[in-house]
Amino acid sequence: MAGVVQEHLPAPSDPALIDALHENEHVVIDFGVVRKVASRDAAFIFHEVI
Amino acid sequence: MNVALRLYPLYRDQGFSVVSGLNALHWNQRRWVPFTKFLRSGKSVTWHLGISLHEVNFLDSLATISPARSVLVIGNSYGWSAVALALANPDAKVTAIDPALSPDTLEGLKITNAIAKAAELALVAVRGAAPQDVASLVPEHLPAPPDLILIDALHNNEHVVVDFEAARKVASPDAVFLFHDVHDFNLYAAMDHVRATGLVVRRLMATPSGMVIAFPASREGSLAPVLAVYGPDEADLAVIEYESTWLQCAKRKSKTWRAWSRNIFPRLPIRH
Repeated sequence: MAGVVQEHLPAPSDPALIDALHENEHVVIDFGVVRKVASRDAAFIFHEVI
Repeated sequence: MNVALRLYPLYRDQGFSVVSGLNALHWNQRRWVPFTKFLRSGKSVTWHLGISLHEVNFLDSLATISPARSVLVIGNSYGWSAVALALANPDAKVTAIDPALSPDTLEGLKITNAIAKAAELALVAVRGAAPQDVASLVPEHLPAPPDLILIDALHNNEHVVVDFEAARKVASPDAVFLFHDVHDFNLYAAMDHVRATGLVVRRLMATPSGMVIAFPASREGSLAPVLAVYGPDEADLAVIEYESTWLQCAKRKSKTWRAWSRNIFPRLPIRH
């Protein structure tokens, strides 16, 4: 993730949309990974939470 | 700024909270929850519902590609559509008419005008009934024949035809007509009448109420971008209908159906 973000985004991501595997465990993993490369004031959007 | 983002604060400033755009699947399949509720002091102020948040975005999109000059709204309630149209079409004059036969719709006229004044919108909501008052009210309040008309009053085929004919008499030759709640209230007989006048009639099934747009054929090109988004092709809708029917069957609890849904249904050709 870190390599992809640095290669394609000029700045830390803001906002970030997480819309991959819809299970709690995977969403936590995705969030944890994205959080590391997001900007400090990033907004996170999660699809299909309900 | 997006119309919806400007619309909500205008009602908040009048003391309302607004809820719109909810997913019926999350609220006991209540089909009305995508539409707009006006609340004050923890209570609903009217049983009338405003157009849905998604439909507000449709009006915004429509205005982006084809801004109106003169807008008529038949059926005002709390002015949600009229204010949205005024925000979306800043160069247009908007007039909404409503017979205001109940205390809440009478208040709705006052609220609409208060919002128009506060936001300095070229919008006026007047008390009047279609068809009998349209011919007099329109020239009184609109400087030009309306080129965009939203019909959202009584939801039965006979009244929609009456409202349409009244509006058509005062409309500009290139006017676009929008009809709310056509699919939800099965107003297709009225749409057959509209089609018979020579207008192109397109369902907007990507709107929660199943709106319809009717326009002269000469406008089809300019409206194409919004039709592509909000009015899916009927052939594509047939695919959705087919797939949703099979998925419904697959949810049945019988083992046979579950087995079939796994093994047989995916191999059947998709119906076009």
